[in-house]
Amino acid sequence: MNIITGLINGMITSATPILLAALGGSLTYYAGIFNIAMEGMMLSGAFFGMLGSYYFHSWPMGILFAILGAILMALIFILFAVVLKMDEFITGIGLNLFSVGVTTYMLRQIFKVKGAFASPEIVPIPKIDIPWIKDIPVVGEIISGQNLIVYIALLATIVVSYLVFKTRFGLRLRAAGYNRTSLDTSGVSANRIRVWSLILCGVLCGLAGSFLSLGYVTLFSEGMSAGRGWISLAAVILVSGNPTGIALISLLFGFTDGLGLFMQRSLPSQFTSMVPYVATLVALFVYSVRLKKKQKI
Amino acid sequence: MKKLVMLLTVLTIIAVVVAGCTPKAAEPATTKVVYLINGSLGDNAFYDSGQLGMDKIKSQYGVEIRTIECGYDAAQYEPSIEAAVGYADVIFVISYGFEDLVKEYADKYPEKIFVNLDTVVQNTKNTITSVDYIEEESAFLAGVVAGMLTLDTSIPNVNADKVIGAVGGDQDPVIDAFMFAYENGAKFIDPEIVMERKYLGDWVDTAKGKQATLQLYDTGSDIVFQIAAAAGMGVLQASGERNLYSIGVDTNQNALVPGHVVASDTKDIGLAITNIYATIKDGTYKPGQVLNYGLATKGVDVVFEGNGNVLPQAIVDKVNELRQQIIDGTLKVEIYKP
Repeated sequence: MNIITGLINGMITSATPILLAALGGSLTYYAGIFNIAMEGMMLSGAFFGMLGSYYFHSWPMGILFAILGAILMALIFILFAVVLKMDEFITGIGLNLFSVGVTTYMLRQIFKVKGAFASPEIVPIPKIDIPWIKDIPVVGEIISGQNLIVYIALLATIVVSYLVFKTRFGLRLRAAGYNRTSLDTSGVSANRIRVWSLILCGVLCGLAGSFLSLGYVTLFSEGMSAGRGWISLAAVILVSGNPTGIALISLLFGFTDGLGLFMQRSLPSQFTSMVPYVATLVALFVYSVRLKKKQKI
Repeated sequence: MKKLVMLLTVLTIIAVVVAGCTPKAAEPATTKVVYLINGSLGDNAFYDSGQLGMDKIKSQYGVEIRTIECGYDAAQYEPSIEAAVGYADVIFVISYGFEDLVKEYADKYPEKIFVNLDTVVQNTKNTITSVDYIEEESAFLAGVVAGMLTLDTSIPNVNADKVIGAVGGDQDPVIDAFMFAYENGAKFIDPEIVMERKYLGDWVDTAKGKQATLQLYDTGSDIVFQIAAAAGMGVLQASGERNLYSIGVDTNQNALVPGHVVASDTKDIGLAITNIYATIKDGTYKPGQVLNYGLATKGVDVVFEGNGNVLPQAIVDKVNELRQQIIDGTLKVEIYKP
């Protein structure tokens, strides 16, 4: 593979977990929940995904466990933030820390290892070769042969977009965020909508987690979400939750990640590590300028 | 008269106390040994190898051992070292991040034996013995493996480019010492070989480790040396995915991705513990030394066991030959100076 297709493939793989988690974050964003727990949900998904794949020797069970693991975290969030009406921000921070602790503890108790656990018993999620397309030079190397989760992420972008803007659920979702009292008076419980948005967020973060531990690499390491949940939060806020915008921003993050590593050929590594964050600031600036122009008209 | 009696009494007391202490000072108790580490056990590499050494001296000499883990938590350093000196006579310590505390406590308790592993720490009373690993010697041999592999296009999937790669966790003196010697080893084989390096800025992000490695492969490397702790698992898995090659670090990682991890650059902490405890027992131990653990003492090495025999015998022979030359002193490996 040459370096250009390598960079593009690197961009797609780096973007996938961010995109999935950010789509989950977008649903809660529209529901008016300040949800910062994507990091913890993703990490929990990564651990349980590995666990399911290891014990059942099957990747679909891995994905199922990943989703259940992330939903578990979402349920804790629901309990504290929705049912008990605790502060969402504190709940989110607590959940992220809890997730690091509980996955590390279980890794050590179940597998008696610290740091990372890899085993041939863990079955990875397969890559999908698309017939015909895979034989096209260059384009085939990019469009075909990606991990199954990459295609799921693409599909999820369209589904979430449709769900939010074209369905009754989406209307209620946005109403829950925009004006929850009016939603409540219309006879639909805003809390119920919020609960569903968090559960769906759990599903998407679980998929993101399974991509980390079963897709890109086939192992679990402590804290392997490595800030991706936080980046996805930045993506959500940057484009005010718009799914298409999230997809573009995720790709931008993925690209700058790989670009940073690539630029180490000619620049010091301390400098190149800044690239993704400089790109974020630039994107934020461009976005705010465009917003301002729109408001003037 | 009264004064004289007083003086005599005082002198007697001093004499008794000194006499009582002298035999103790000449032959300090050595039955309680602590292994004090800045990180945690269970890494299957660095810290665990030290624990193996502790278990060995326990069964061999019947000493009481205790391991105190700080779990990378800076707040634990002081209470841990306090507990260590309170309990033990001999303290083996891996002191990344609390070197100054070790110096302070060694000065305060000069009768305790302090052995500092992996770095050189010297206190004013010069009671700490340091074990310094010469990473450059084994990394040089790792570079020889990489250099010979990238030249040998008869090995499956090896391209004609004379490029090798290395992935480090972050830019620090230890990692740069590894990279420096690795590059020298490859250039020793063929000065035209180019070494490309990537720093992750992270020690746990396996996905990033893999991404960096795939890029190195895309730009012509056939083999990548991982010096990135847990994130390096991503490097090893990338070599499996691309059917290319990698070199493991700290412990024998060859079997993790069989047939692709062609060698590992190992560092044996436990060996230093058993060796030094043996000198303490037979009375040849001297405080305040700096002991160099290189290839000659097997403190560091390059191992091939479990790599699925993918390397041509010529590479293995060459490494064995150079290892002997380094041990004999006929080949000098340059030491990295930051």
